[in-house]
Amino acid sequence: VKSVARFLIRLYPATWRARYGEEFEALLEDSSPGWPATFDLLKGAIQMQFSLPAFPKLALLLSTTGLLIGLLVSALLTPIYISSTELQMTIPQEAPAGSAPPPDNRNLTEHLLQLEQELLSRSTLSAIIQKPFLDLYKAERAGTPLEDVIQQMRTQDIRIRIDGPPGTSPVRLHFNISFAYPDRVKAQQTVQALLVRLMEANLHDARAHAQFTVGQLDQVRRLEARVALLEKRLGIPSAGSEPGDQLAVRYMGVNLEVTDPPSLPVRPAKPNRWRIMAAGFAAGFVAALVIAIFRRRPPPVAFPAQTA
Amino acid sequence: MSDPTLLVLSSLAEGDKHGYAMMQDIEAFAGIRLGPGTLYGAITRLEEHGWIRPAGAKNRRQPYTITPSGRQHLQQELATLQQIVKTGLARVKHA
Repeated sequence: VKSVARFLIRLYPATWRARYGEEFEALLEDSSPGWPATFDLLKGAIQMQFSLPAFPKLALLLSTTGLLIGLLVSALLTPIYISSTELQMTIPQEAPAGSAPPPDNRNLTEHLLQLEQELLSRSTLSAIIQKPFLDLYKAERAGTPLEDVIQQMRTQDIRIRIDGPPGTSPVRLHFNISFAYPDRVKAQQTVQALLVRLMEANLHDARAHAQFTVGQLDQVRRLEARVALLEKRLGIPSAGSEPGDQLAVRYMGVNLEVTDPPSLPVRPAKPNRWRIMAAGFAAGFVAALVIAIFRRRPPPVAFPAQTA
Repeated sequence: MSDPTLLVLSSLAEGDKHGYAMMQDIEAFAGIRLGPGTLYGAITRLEEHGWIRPAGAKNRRQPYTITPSGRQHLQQELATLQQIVKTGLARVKHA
């Protein structure tokens, strides 16, 4: 505690320390301060800083300067617009008893991860970047390898985020795709392109699943035909409903629905002008505080001469 | 009466004291333990007003003495407080 208290003495104005520093330290040595006294020291340091006539002027000057620098910096930074779209992924629930169970929430999340891999693949992003009507990252591509540009787009500019916990009845997953770019129209068009690619990937997955199911169904139907032929030859009556009838309505893929189309951003998301200005203001204030702490002046009070 | 400047003046009215002695004296007569920041904040203000001044040469354990204007200020403040206490007690009694 004593070392903290000694440190806190440094927060008092230099002029004050020049006058009272030594005796103040002697008081701390005598009184063995605990934590309440240490907080009292901090409070005293702040009050003392504010009581100096020069400090408010200095703080106002430097804080205003910081505010203006923040305004200038925010004006010089390239504005970034973010376009986003909301989607919903659901599982068809009409599968009858006896068919394969529909995927659960975990499967939906895994399915989204699969689609995300496809969406963020080199081939997909490269194609989107180089679409003639988009022509993204033109300046960056002039001086940076395409791989680096793709990596930037993948890791910094595209965001795929699951919104809230997955629903259980029906099984569903809400998620959001967004893209940040200096051109607001291109930001929206890029999200549209990503959306189209996502739908294609989902459709491709559904088709692959459907082909597999239909292939199985054909195999079963051929077997059923053979059994029926044998039954007929042997004079055995038909058993009615066959397994193939149920296979026909098996799970055929994941439904993907756009709940909110790609937005056309009106205001830039970055830079946050107010935040930068506030940071400039705070930096100016802290600078004034530091200057006040370290500024040195001659002691203001003359002591009476020592008597022998 | 918890104004630190009045507490310090009251302490010094008895005789010269350094910071730690004031702290102990105030705790003894008022039951208030002033923190070091509060005590030296009060000392600074009192010295700026000319109500106290350092006694003797500069010392690590610097004693302070109350000035005549400080004593006069203390008397005025205590008289006001006395009036407030007197009135307050009378009103509490008749309430």
